[in-house]
Amino acid sequence: MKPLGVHLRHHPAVRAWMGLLPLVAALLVALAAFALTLRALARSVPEAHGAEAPGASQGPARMERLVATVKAVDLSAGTLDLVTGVGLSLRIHRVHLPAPLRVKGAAPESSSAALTRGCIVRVECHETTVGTYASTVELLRAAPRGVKP
Amino acid sequence: MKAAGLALVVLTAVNTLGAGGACPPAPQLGDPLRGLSREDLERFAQGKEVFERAFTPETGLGPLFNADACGECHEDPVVGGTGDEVEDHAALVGVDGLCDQLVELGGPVFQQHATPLLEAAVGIDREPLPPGATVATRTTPDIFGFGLLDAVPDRAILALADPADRDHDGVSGRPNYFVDGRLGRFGRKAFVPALSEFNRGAFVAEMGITNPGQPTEESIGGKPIPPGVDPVAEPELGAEDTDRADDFVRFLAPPARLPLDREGELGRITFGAIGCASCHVPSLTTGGNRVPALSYKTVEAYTDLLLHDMGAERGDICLGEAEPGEFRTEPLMGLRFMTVLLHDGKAKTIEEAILLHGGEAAGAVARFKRLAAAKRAALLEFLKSL
Repeated sequence: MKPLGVHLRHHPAVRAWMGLLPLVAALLVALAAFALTLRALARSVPEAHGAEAPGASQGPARMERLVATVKAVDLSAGTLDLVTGVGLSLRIHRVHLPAPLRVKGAAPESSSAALTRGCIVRVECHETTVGTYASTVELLRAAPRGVKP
Repeated sequence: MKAAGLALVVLTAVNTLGAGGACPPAPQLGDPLRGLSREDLERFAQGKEVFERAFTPETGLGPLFNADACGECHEDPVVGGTGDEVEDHAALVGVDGLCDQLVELGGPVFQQHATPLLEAAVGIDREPLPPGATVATRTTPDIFGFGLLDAVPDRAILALADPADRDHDGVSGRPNYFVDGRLGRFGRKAFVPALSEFNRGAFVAEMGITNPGQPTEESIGGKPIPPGVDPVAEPELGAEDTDRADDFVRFLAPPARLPLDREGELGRITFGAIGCASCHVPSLTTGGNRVPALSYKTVEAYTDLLLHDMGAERGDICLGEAEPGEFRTEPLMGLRFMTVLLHDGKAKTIEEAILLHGGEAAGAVARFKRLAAAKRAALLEFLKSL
């Protein structure tokens, strides 16, 4: 007498289902990949929404990520004035640039020239008692064309 | 036979109940959206209290402010509606052609009142307007149904943009962007990306009420607040109250349209035929949302949430990438409740507002002027139903 498992393996219905196993496995892998993508997207949301998310700057390390428009650049002083804010309540945020300055997203030979009024940057920085210091500066968008007065 | 009779009675009862469930009465003005959970309805009610709360200097008002409560401006005919307050915004187009929102001078919103402590300390009763700045007057819009506008996906707005006017209809809506590069949609210049951010910013810019979203006060014309003038610790409004105020605004139902008779229906058709609907797009559809009442809903807002050139005569300030003459298409839902019209309040009637459109709307206005009296009356009748 054959064991029950052997009987079942030869049953036509079971064989048909076993034939589908690779397809089921492929579907499971695809679902897992989809779930991982969704998770990654969900993690990227606070970044996409800039640095003004409530509580974003209140961690004990005082690390911040600012996504903002450049208001002014003073390369001799090594500072960048950024326009940040919420709604129509806007603020100027002065950030000290790292030395040497390298701007991600800009050609290495023209890093500083890429930072112009009106461009949008992402700055990783930390706050100290004497100011905000950037560790990285990334150019996200060049300045728009000027508006017609 | 008896069984068939009983089945008929049961079916009729089920149909009646079903019909009742499918067509609940439309929300009244100021009501919450239909289909909210009990928890969300409670949040709406709690948020209404925060929205109507009158702040004082002792509870955080000021030092500079335009009003002491959200509901002081958004009050007519019910809370969340319009108001007769007109405020000052200012900006300047820089020599490089880029917009300067005058942030370092206290812009772009310049408050018209000061608390007694600030007045005593620096001798001003309002925030000074920077000399040479372009000043704009802004009326108070109603905010009914804005939660639905907040829930419209960015891609739906961008799909309506035609910045190069590729279809050659003379209308070229384009998007505006916030300081961090996100697509804007709220405010007269479509500058602010999200309703909750507009609210959090407004608490500070309009009332001087700091909150977790904007924990720092406005400056006094760019200068720091003198010591002792703002005694309440930041944030002056807690996270819970801030979130509830958001919930109230987000869950306010759009005004139900009045039913159209034959004339109104002719007006609706004429509205599209003469080109008004190119910018005042009749409806938008929300995307998926954790709140079912905001999820995949059609909102008859009559806007595309994009910038359009209104012409030099209507122009005032720049904001973000919006040029002085560009404004976001004003949503027309709730139009019948507005007492003054246009962003600057220059029109007192709907017809006057139409005639004051210029720029991209010039063609539609010319067609409006050529309409036969009956069609023109029908169009106005339709607009009064919104």
